[in-house]
Amino acid sequence: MTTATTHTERTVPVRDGAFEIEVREGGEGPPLLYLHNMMAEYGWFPFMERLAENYRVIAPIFPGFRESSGLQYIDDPTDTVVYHNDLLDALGLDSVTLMGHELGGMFAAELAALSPHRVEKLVLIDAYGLWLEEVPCPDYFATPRRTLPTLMWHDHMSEVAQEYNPPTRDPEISIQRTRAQTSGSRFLWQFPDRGLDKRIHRISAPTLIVWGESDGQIPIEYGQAFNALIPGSQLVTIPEAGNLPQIEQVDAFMDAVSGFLA
Amino acid sequence: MKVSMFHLMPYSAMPEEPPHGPDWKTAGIWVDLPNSVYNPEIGNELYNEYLDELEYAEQVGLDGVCVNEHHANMYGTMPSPSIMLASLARRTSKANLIVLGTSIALYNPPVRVAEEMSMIDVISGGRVVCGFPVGTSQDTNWVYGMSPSVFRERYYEAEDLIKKAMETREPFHYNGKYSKLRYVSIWPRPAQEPRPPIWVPGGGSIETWDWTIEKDHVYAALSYGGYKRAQQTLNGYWSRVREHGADETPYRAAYMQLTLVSDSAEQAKKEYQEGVEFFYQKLLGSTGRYFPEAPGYRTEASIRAGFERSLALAQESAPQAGRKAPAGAGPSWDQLVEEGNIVAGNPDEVAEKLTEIAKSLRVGHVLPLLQIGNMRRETTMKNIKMFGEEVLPQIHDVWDDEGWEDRWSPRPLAQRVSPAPVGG
Repeated sequence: MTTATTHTERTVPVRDGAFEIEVREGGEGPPLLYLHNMMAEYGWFPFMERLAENYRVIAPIFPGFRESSGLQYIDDPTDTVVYHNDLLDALGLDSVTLMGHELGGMFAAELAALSPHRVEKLVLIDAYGLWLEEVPCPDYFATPRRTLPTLMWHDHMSEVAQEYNPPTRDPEISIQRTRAQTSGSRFLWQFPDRGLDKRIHRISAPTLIVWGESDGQIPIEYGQAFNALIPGSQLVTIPEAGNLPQIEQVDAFMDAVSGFLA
Repeated sequence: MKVSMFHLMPYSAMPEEPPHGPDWKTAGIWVDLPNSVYNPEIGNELYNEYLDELEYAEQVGLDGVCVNEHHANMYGTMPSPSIMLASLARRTSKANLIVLGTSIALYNPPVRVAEEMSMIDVISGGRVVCGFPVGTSQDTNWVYGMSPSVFRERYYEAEDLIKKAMETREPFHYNGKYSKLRYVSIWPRPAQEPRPPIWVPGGGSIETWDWTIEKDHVYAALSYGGYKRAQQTLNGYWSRVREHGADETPYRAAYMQLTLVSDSAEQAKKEYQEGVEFFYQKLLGSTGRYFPEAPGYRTEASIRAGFERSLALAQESAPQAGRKAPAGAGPSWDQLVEEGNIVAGNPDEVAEKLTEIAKSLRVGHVLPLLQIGNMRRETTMKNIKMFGEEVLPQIHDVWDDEGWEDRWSPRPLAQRVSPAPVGG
């Protein structure tokens, strides 16, 4: 473990309070915005800790997830871009290093395509947003909850996997998880495709695509497709990692991003 | 009391082994059911048989006939209820034509539903009841691909637009979130003025109770769970009615009941057991296993209420745990009678039971499901005949002593025509 940085949690009003956004933040340095996945995991994970050694890591919770509000103002990808612009304004940030995972990767790619001036560098981790007819990714919502971990992880029995999203009997946590699934369904229902392929060529920030080689949720071919569609991007694949290389293989993940971000 | 026959029109020629999985429990009978299983020759028999049955229900005196909507499903083969209703409009002359219902969130633009309902209303001389369900998760979210995060909103907007389209006599514009129509002026307009009554099939969600009461629509409790479980639902509904200060006319509530009539309880079991067990064990056997209710199909308030209910149930009913059917079998006839899923017996017993149920649930519209599972023509016709001739006369007057007006049955045209004989 590295030296612990402290991280703070606060609520940030965005667009005059239309959105009330939960934000976790830690570290000092240039701002790095991290956009979360469908699980809206709320831990301060070792990879965040490591990033916080050199960056001010800011991890907002998207509207409709956990206690962040305002999803009623977001219907489509354009709305997500407008929202993220408003969020950056509320945080007082002109531009950031942007890192998005899975659903958050889809939002990050949209922002980088439509508001390139706000994104200095882009890191996409096992991201949604594309659909490959020849490699259909599994239906996230139809996949039985018991089976999902086997797709998400290289080793779903490992300690990190077991600790990540443990089963709960707490109704409130259960409701919160259902809320996350529901909100995410707005962008992923049946197909994780809301037209990003028509805009993705507008991404001009230097882009790193990181993909777990064992990702059964969004297979590696999707990483290759992102890499082919984003001008000048590079793809790094992480062995023995599924959909969450930043959790499952922290060292390899950090090795991949450190050089790119430096 | 108004009594209308409900029909699901199941596909009953289910093969023993599914072509798409090891068994019917895991292979699923809904959403991804391959239509190679469907035999159109048998389908041709079944559709015509089922329509004959509903037509016969009118002949033996039932007040109406009910059809419904399901998609990619074996227990209900009416993806378009309007088509069934249109057929019934021509071959019946006085029965109420009740759709329970049309999944209005799925139609784009929703005025299509207003047009179809108006057409059938005019053809039938004003006998239509519109039913506007939210729709099951399997039908709406999975088969028709509607994201659970928007379909409720679409449903509310569709209801608003359809109602307005049927009621409004001048062209209007509708700038909704999902429907953007500069010109709305449906032709034909409905025969009933201002429009057919609206019934809302619902499960047990508080939002649906409140909304139905506010809109002054009928709340229709449709489940295969039987009258004992429905009691809790209707208790919840009526407590909301009182809180809203609405009148407590029983006609604002409807209830579907699987009903089987014969010469005796033993005879009923002998004649109908196969069909009933086929329905519960086979047709419903794997519902929802493979394609679960989509996240967000139920609102958070309903999920919360569900947690509280199941907690209360777990505390109350622990001793009953042993009564569960053995794994893989599904409930038997005796269990279904015991649990209140089905009402079966001789005409007097059935009449007595239905009276008790109607009173206890306080429902003005009872909707007996008289064809169940793989029951075929002869068996079903007997059930309909005995129900109409011997049960119905005993229950028709259930609410007469309270003197309520039924504001939710159709008001047909005073003068209306019937189909002329072919070539006549």
